Amino acid sequence: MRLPKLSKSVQLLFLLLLFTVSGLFAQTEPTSTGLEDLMFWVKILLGITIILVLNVLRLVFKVRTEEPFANVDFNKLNGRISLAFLIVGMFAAIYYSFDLSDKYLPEAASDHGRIIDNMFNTTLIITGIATIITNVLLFWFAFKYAKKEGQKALYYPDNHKLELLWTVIPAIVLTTLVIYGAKTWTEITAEVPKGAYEIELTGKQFAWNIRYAGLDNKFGPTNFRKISATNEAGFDFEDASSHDDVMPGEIHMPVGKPVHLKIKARDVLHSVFMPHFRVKMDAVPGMPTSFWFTPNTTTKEMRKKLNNPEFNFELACTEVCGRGHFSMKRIIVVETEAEFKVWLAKQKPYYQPPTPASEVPDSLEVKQDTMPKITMVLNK
Amino acid sequence: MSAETIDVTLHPEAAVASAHHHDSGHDHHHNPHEHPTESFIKKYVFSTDHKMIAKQFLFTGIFMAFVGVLLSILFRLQLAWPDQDLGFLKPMLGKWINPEGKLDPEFYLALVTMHGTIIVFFVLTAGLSGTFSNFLIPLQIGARDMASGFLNMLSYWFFFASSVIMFFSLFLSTGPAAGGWVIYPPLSALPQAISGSGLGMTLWLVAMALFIVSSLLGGINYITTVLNLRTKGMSMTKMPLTIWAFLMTAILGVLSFPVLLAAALLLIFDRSFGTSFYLSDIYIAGQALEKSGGSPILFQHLFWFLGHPEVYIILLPALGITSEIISTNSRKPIFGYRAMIGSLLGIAFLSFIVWAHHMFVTGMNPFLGTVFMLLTLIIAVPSAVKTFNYLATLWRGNLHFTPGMLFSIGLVSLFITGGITGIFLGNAALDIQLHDTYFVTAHFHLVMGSAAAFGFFAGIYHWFPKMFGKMMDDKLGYLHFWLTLISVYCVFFPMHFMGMAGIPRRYYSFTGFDFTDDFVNLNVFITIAAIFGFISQFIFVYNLLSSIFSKRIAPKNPWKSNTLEWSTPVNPGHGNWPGEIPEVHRWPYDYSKPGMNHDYLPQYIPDAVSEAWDKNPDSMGYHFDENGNEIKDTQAHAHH
Repeated sequence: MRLPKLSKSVQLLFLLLLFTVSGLFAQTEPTSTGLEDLMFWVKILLGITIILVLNVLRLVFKVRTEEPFANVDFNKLNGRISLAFLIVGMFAAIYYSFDLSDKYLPEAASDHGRIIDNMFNTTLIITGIATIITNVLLFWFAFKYAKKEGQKALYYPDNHKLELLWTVIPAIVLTTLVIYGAKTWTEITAEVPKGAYEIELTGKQFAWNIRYAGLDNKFGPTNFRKISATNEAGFDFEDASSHDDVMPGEIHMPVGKPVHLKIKARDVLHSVFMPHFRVKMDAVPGMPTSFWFTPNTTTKEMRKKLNNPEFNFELACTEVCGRGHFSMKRIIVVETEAEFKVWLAKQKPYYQPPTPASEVPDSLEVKQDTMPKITMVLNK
Repeated sequence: MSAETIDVTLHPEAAVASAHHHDSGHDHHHNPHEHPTESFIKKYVFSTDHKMIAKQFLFTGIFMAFVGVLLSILFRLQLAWPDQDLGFLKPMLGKWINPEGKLDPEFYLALVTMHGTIIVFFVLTAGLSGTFSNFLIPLQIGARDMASGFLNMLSYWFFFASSVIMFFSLFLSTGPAAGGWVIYPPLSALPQAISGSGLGMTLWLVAMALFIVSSLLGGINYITTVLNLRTKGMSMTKMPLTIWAFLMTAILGVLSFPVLLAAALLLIFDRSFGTSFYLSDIYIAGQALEKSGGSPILFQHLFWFLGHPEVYIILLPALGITSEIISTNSRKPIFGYRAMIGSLLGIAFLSFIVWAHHMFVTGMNPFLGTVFMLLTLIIAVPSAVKTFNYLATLWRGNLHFTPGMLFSIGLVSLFITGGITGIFLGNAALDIQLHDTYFVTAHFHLVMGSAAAFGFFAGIYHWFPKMFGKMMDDKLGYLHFWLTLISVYCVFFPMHFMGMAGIPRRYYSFTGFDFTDDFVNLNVFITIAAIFGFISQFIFVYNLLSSIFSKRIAPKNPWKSNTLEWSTPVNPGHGNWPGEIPEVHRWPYDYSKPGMNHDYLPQYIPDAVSEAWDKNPDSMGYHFDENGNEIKDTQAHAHH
């Protein structure tokens, strides 16, 4: 089987056609920065590869009366491609890390979040250096030591000093990172400070129930067996502390004050993720969990900082929970403590008291003397 | 290639026993495998020959790989083009594409789940270990076959049965399992939570139970064979690193898979027999369940007790294969042989005590987080040592770029890039932000998915001549390598950026949130690169299949390697060596020894004749008496 010969001009024409045709399908709306570059490189890569593959296939299928690659030193070629791959790859990886940096999360809006971000950057620098050096050596050696006429390998089976050196140095570096990490982790997971504002979040398929304790500052007791269409949290309404609990559709937090998330789940595993605050904790049915932190930027301040008047902090679910996992969104508003208190006071309690007796129609009224007398006997 | 003696292809049935008992006082095993002509069923289907079983694992693994990667292309189409009408997929996916041409979100999760399950277990565990442990252990240690050919055969057929069940669960009307490959309850325990947790999950559990049986049978066989059936002179410290890796892998499997079975059994009980090991306080589908006292965290501990060693079960064989291939093709000893063994042992031991780094944010006691963070970061040390040793092996070598060598070098790069991000994730404080985001996906796809796959490819390219007696096309091999390496990095490296932006895993669509919206376009790039990579694999499959039937007969030792497997005939029959099994006189890494003409010296050449061998390798076979005199012509003793 012979494939048609593709002269250089035909190949160039093909590349031109590829760019023109794909240009016709280009998006009419402006795309985010970087995409145009990426698509450009994708097209180049695609074009070159298609041509390469066609050429190779053509030659491979050629009737084997001749050795089509007799003059090509593939070893040298592979060595050279190794170097090219290193240079292009390293450049692309580093370049796009910076180019896409406007898409990363903005500066953390919580105290511990700033510490986490610093630790990330430190780890990135240390490990980045190690990654770059080792990858460079790998592909550079591949290029430099490619088999040549007269080159002999060096019989060098081991060097115990060297082994010790590159065991001890990584161990020291990692120990430092561990200590830094353990210290931060211990601080983040420490006891909730007194006076923290409490918010209860209950994950369910497929939304978050938000609950505040109301004016008495006590969460009413709940029981999953009492959950119904009219009793979202499973309140035990016999207990008066549940009567002022509010269940708003938005989370509000006071800036600069510790906030304690009490996290539950109703049906399957969910997970509370507040990316801008670097907050994450799983919601487990049957096992309440907890996370506390201090927000340090209000929504207003964040909008100014990002020059985006539409910006909102968001809560997302980050443990797979079924078909609606990707859309369990709640808006989080951070405001001054005063604003927060005003907002909380305005929320209507979830509890709807039963209709007072004076409004019950006669036909439904219970006759008093048919009621059994109940005497309460107080035990001394 | 230089002119090596090309052996005449031996007909396997003619590899008969030598009744001649060599009178040397040692107990060499003759080849006891006398066979009258075998039936097709006995030879190709219910074979007890480790080489045939290895090929069975290989082809089943390749088929499952095709299925697993295809599933990933399907869900990547959804991610890249969420507004596109995917109606053209209706012939394949039926009702999972709704009338508006949108992929069903539950089926999206099913695709993600089955992709993970199939690739992790069926391709990279059974496919990789099943092929290479089976093929290489007897050949490289000098044994006729595995300790039990029968158990070995059962191991494959349990794997086959498991694959059939898992594959067919894809076609259920309620959908296959859809709770992620980690199948956390309560999602995986309650059909009312997601439809895939009905029959799909039941079949998943049945298939995995069979799979675990297969793994255990295989593992026990590999350990027994390596410990007991090494030929004379093959002490533990003269074994190739491939065998060390396979041995440690088997030990990991035997100790950890039973715990997964336990986790699965308890889940079966919760699903079908009214228990509540994992379930408590659940209100779902309008009903409060009568389940109380259980904890989903229990499942996570049991699962990850296997789950973490599992990733090393996947990686260690690939590392062993890489050690062997890099050394052979650099014409240099592997640098730091003992340190390589030490780091294998270190990684294997540590892998048992780091599992809860998958659980930092589950709500478990934070003190556990501190402990597991410490242990996790320790495991980075032996991994670093291995990387430096690979680099030192390449340094001042004389590198032969066979496709196997290229894939091994690619593996080292992926191991570095992917492994480094493990240091971020192992830090519990950082994990708060990064857990269950694309940062994790990038990490494990590079360090495990791609690196182990590259090990798989490297092994096939390198041992193809031994498996099939033919040579693969090396130019197609180079092309396959470069296209795959480029596409793998293009697909998974950008996912780090997505993780840094906080994008959660297993999200059907990125348009639900403002903070995820920015990356809708990067998904297009990744999906295109993934399709590109998928198509490139057909070059490999074409190469593999056409080379089996080609006329490029392999020489006996095409890579001029020192290990024992290259001393068998080009098409080894049952019992591997037609005469006596060779004895071993040195470690397998004497490449480019100073003072020699040739840059290799096989393990089985005695010191007494090594000079003569060096002058004329082709003049000698592999069998020598204790004075170093060659015992020629063992085939003269063959008789029925």
